[in-house]
Amino acid sequence: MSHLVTVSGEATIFQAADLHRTLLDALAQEEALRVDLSQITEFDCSAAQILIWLTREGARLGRPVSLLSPGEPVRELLALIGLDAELTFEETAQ
Amino acid sequence: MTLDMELALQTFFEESNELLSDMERILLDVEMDATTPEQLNALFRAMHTIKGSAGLFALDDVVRFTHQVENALDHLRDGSLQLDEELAGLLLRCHDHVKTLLDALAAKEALPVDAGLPLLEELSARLNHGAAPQPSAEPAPAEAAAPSPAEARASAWLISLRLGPDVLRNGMDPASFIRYLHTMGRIERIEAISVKLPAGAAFDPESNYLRLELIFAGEVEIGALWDAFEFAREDSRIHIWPLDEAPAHLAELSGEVDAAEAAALQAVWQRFGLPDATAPAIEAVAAPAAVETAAAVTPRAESGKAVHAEARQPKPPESKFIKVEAGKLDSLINLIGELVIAGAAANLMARRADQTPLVEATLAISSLIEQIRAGTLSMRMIQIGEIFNRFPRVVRDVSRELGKDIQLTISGADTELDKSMVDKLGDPLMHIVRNAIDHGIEDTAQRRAAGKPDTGTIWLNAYHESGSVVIEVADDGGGLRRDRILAKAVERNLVPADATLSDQEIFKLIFEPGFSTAEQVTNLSGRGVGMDVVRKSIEQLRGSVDIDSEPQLGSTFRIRLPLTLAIIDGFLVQNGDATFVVPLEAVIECIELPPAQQQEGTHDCLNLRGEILPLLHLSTFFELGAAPGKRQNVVVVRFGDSKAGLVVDELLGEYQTVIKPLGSLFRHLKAISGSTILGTGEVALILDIPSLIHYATRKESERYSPDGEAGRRSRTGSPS
Repeated sequence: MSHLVTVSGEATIFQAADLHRTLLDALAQEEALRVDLSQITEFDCSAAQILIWLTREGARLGRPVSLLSPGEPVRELLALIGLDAELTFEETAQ
Repeated sequence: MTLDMELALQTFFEESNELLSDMERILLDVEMDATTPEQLNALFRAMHTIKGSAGLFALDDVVRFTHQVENALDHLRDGSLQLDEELAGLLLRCHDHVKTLLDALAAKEALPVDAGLPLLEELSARLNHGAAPQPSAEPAPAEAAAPSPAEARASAWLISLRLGPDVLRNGMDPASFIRYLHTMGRIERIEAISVKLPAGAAFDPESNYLRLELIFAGEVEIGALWDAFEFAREDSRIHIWPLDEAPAHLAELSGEVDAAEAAALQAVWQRFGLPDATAPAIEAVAAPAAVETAAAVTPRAESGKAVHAEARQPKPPESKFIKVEAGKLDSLINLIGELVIAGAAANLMARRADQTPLVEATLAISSLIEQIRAGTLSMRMIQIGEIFNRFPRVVRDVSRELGKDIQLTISGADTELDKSMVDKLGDPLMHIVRNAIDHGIEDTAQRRAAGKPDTGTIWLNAYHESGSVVIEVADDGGGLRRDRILAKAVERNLVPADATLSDQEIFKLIFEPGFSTAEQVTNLSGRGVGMDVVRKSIEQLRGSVDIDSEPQLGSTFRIRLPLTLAIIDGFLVQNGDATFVVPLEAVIECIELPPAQQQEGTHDCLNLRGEILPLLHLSTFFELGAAPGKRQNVVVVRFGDSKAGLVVDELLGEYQTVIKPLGSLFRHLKAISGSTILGTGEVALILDIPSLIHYATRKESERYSPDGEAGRRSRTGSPS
């Protein structure tokens, strides 16, 4: 059974520490993690880094992590800084 | 985090305001003489920096507006647009709009964005108009005019950004640099390298781990690209090369980083379609490290067109100023005030104990305290130019509005004054200057009739004079109308109709509440509010205003202010048991009172080397009731042009006086301006010299005038 985390609102440097902690805790407790990105309204490089870290950390711990439904702000930033090849997403209807 | 952001924003506002006032100053200067490239560059940089910083804070409205202004300034810089008076005016209004936007942001109000639209339209009209006559000529002269290798141009660049780990924490999102680059040209390829990003607990969500490699296409100069990263240069490794030269640098770049990053870097460059540069890489790595750097850098720097980016990398020298919160300085000065008092107490104890070494030690301490005091107070001193600088703009705007031709001459702008005074001086000074423009300087027709040059002149001048600062506002206008002021004053019942007043006294009437002689009320001044406020605010600073005026020649308003407000050098005198402080700056000399004049006679005057010096016996004046001492002394004091002698029992010498304000109960006491605490813990009153001198001289003149003040009063009181 995989656990769903929904990130909503702003995901920027201001929320980075909190977001990181939330995901760290979730990863420690759950077998598998699904992160819904569709509710994000603002997204910056720090948040992108956290997503990269999350997939790497998941892989390291052997716990699958999937990133779901990135919204426009997420896609825009990843394309802007050339990170779109780095992360893979799954589209799932909620 | 939010707090940091607030602080960063605050800094942004401060910096922007400084840049804006630079911009204003330059725009006002260039109207007077031809423009220099430095001025145009400074204008450009002001807008550019504001735009860049605003972009970092995602202040899109500011960015949008400043971008257009910057664009126009860029055209000015490369000569495709000429700066004339009209354009300078337009740019000034743009400057105002940016200021309004920033002020609204600072006050967290809605941005008046629409107000900028007409400005932008005017700007683009000017741009199209200015560029139209030479559509094809533009690129060619630009290249011809810029033969310097530093201005290398290329159409494609390779930019390698290894931004420092702290950029995110400092509120800069690497993505915002990319967004900014988007405004300058096209980003053909971009890839982020994230090999540095650790898994596990080593990951810090607030550090930057990304490295960005990109190919940028746009006809820009390398300097402009460097400017884009101006805010991130610190602990960042940034490289910018023309695309065709880039492959040669891959080896060098790979040498800077560890193997994993180098491999990723090479992979990215390969994907960018850059020729494989493995061969030179091997060569370079094979060479000893020290030789490699030396050999790699020098020949390239010499090879003319190849601008080695790192040559520009050293940051400009650190600014020589630090910003300190005013409150901190104030509390430091308060503490020093207490230290002065405590030092005086220690010195007194040492004297009483009659221990010479101890006395010497306390004296050494108090001389150090004095130096600290002087040093700290001087930190609060700022140049009066800070207020003067806003006047060229005021004079320009107001004189245009009134259709007068007026020039402003500023001198003594480097005169220093206490910061708290500078802040409070702006408004009264503004009022006097506006008054001079509005009422002082005549219109052109009247000036011609009077045989004066068409252009009126207003002078702003500041200088130090015996412990005070004097600020003069002078004009070469029609002068104050002595008779009209008097008539008005009589009409308003401010003076009796038959009063005989000196010119000075008449001129001072304009500071009475509700006084205005202007027949025509303009929207600037002449509403009769203000001059009394001017006097009040200057008196609050323990200063005074004098007026000199000559018909047809002009008027001079002279503001006299003490240097500081907190601590003064005092001169301690004693009468009976009471101790008083005379501000040392007012003391000219001390003499012994001739025994013949010990008794207070009818002629309360002293012949001081042929000059009549009115005397004021402090014991009598303050009704101390103590028997006068055996030998009495006269302290000769001066304020402005008038002098008086204060008769005291004993001279106690100099004393650093920390001014403690009197309670509001004593606010109306004329002769006392404050109090201080002596080393013994006793309170000494600080004498208000200007009002004492005024009292002494008036008492003297009344005695000799057959028509004394008292007589005049009774006559006006009776119905005529």
